[in-house]
Amino acid sequence: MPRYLVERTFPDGLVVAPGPEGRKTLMSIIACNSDRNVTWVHSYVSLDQRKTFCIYDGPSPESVRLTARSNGLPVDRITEISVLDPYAYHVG
Amino acid sequence: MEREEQLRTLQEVVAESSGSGRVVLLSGEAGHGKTSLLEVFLDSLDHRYQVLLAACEPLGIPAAFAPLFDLLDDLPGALREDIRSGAGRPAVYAGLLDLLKNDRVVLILEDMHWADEATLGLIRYLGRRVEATRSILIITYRSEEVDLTHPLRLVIADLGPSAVRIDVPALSLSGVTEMTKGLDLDPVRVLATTLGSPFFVEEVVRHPEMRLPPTIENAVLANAAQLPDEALEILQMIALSPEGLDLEVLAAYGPDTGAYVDMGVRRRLLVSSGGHVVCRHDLIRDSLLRSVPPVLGRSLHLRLLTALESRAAGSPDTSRLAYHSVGAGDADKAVGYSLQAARDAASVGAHRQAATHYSNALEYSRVMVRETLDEALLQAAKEHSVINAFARASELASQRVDLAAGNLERARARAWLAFFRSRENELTACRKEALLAIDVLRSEPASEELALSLAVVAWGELVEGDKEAAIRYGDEAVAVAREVGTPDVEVHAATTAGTARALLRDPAGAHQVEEAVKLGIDRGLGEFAARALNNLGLLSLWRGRPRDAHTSFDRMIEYTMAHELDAWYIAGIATRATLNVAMGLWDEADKDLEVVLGQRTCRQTEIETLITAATLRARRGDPRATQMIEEALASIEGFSDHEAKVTGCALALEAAWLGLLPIAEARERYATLLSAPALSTDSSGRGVLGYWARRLDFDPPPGRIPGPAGPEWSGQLAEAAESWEERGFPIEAAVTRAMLPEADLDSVFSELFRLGAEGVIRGLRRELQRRGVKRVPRGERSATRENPAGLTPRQTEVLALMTSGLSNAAIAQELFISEKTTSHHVSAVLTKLNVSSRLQAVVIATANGWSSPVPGRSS
Repeated sequence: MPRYLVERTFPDGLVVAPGPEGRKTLMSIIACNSDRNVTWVHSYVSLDQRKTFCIYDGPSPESVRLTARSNGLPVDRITEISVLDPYAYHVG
Repeated sequence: MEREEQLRTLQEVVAESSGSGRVVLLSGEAGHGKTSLLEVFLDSLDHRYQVLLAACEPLGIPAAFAPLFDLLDDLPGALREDIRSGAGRPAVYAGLLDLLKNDRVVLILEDMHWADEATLGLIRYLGRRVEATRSILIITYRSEEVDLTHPLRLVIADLGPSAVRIDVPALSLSGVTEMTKGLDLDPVRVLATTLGSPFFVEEVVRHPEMRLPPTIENAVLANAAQLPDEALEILQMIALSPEGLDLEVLAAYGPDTGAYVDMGVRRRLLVSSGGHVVCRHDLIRDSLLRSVPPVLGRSLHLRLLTALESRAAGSPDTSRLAYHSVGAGDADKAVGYSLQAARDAASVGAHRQAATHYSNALEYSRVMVRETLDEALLQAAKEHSVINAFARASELASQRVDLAAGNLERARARAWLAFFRSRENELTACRKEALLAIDVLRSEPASEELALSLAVVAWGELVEGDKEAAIRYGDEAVAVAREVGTPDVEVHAATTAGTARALLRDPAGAHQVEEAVKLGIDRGLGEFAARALNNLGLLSLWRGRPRDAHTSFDRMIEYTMAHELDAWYIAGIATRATLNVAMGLWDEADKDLEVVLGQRTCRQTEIETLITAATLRARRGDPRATQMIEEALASIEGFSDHEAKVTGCALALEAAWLGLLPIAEARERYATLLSAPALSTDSSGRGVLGYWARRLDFDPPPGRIPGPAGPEWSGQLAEAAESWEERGFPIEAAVTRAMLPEADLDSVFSELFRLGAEGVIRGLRRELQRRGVKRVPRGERSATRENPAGLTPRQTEVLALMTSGLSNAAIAQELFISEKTTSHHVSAVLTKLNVSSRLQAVVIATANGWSSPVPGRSS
């Protein structure tokens, strides 16, 4: 399944409540993702919490957008990506 | 076991249902414990709730409303009678809704992946209304059975985000470890073999002596193999009867049956209650079924059929009789019961089931007399056509042509074949058959078949772009249809003729289509009314008026949804998706496309959807756009529909502009289309192509270029941009505005950014650089901060004038635009500010300091 980088902007900053409330929010996002076969791998959040860079696996860019919409999350840009790490060509 | 989260969600739904009712979609693979979860949930349920439980069974062809028969004893008398007597959908739907309204009910519909169409319609109906009750509707289904093309999928999509979705997943390693505690079993191996299926793990745990069988089927059969052969046969017979069997029926097969049933119950293969016995789980039933050898299967089916016949005095369940007579291979009975079951199913609108029953009956065509066969073929073809299986419909209809005796009969059969071929969009084939039919039928007294053939030819001419011929044949078809009194054919032909007239700019055309809509709706002609509504919307679209078209399609979608005309419903949604893409309503377009993609549709809709989806992806600058564009363009190859060729060419030109396709390829496609004769009478096509030719500096299409692209070619850029905006094409409006010599590029780019049109931003930047514009902005979000509502410069001007208290007429005068255009701007401003009145808009504008008029314009 292709992997995507999803950039989002939160003008008022992204706030995830701590504790059970936050857990519930994240769980409901995961449940909604699974409807369309979309998997949230993880995210990087800017220090001012206004931008996030999220890594997703999903069948298509549209599925990522629809899921974002169901979860009430904005989407600025979607880029298809692949993994490159320092040891990608390491042999042995 | 590992179901706490799911149970809690169910209980929360109950807690909240005192405010408003909800739909719960409970999915999971077979054996994942959906039913067990529900049992635990029902135990915990408050006694104020009435629980109604109905399940579908895997009967090859489900009977209409089959699951509701489980409920009969719990339902009020009138509703019970309606269901029993096959009173039709509206009465049953309304009756159940009343029940949900009057009481607190938990209505559980289990295993809906096997549901018949009437029940699916019920889910849709109740699902959209349950919020107004204090009841809960729980739908369970096997997730692995419901793929993208499954009819339940569309129903789920319709229920939308308000439905609560609960998935019952496989067990984790810790769950398996917990269950195998104290047994000599390696939990990791158990997990690997069972894939965490709770049903399978339970079987393994219950019979550790079996070691670890590789599949569920092996586990079940190893368990059943402990029984004597006679008992196994009884079990297999019970498995062949999806709803289970009564003990008294079983008693007829020998004195020991009771004891055998007890053995099955003891080994937990069967459950028995109230003198009725059934397999404990569908996975057990499936495994037992697969173990039945074919010859034994026939004799078991025959026994069941005989038992059923001897008891079916009152209202015979034809669907079940058909199932067992097909299983028993009894040709005469299979034909008789299948035809009866098909008519029963069709009469309550379960067309999918009707079509399958007809197909089953036709397997035994060798025992049918010619008249029966001919009628069965025609009805089978009609049912297949209703469910969009057009190729199969044509195949059946062509068998009738071969069967026909004599010229006249053959011509009549050809007329129907031509009609089904036309639904397949097989232009050449349908015209050939229709013309052959017309040749014979014209010299006979007027007939339905003559009207039908003429209507088919008219349709073909319209699709190929010969509008005069479409009018000629269409008018003749209307006259014949009136004479013989077939309003369905009349509506079909009048829609075609009216559409052709409108395309030739004859004002009578749209009126004729309106009349066809009215006649179609009045006479309840479902799909013919839907087509007329569809064309009415298309006429607005072709005139370059997406807003009007959108209104028409909303109406059509509502009508087709209410009448369960799925094919037209999907076609309507597909076109609305196209409109939403054109109008910049892309979130809406996503939703529409999701409904359409993966549905089985006609080729035209399939092509339209691919083009729309590719256009949207390309305009957004999303990944894999080129791939999708190529797929869309490939889908048009060999398709003779002129409109598809035009939209395909427009896609190629746009893709080239966006840098996603080589310019040379776009140029070649464009040149090919310019030489097509149909383009000379297709003004809307010239308008679309004219815009893109301008963008790419290609030669303009020959003849007058209608719509906003016209003024752009003659250098009136401001007028062109204004016209795009007023018609409801924000992308074209923004791009054209960017071409103005004094263009405010920052605002153009921020408008495009607001629309999410990253791809268009890239394309526009390329064009501006090509035209030598020095400073091309980056088009990031920054510019929108000053104007968070994302108003265009024109809309900002209009808002400023509204703030000064000007009326639409005064604003129109001030800005040198028409009053109609002004009112479009005003409503766009209200939409973007998310307010419903002028006053609210003015308050927001003043509070944010956006009310100062734009320098250089009004005082």
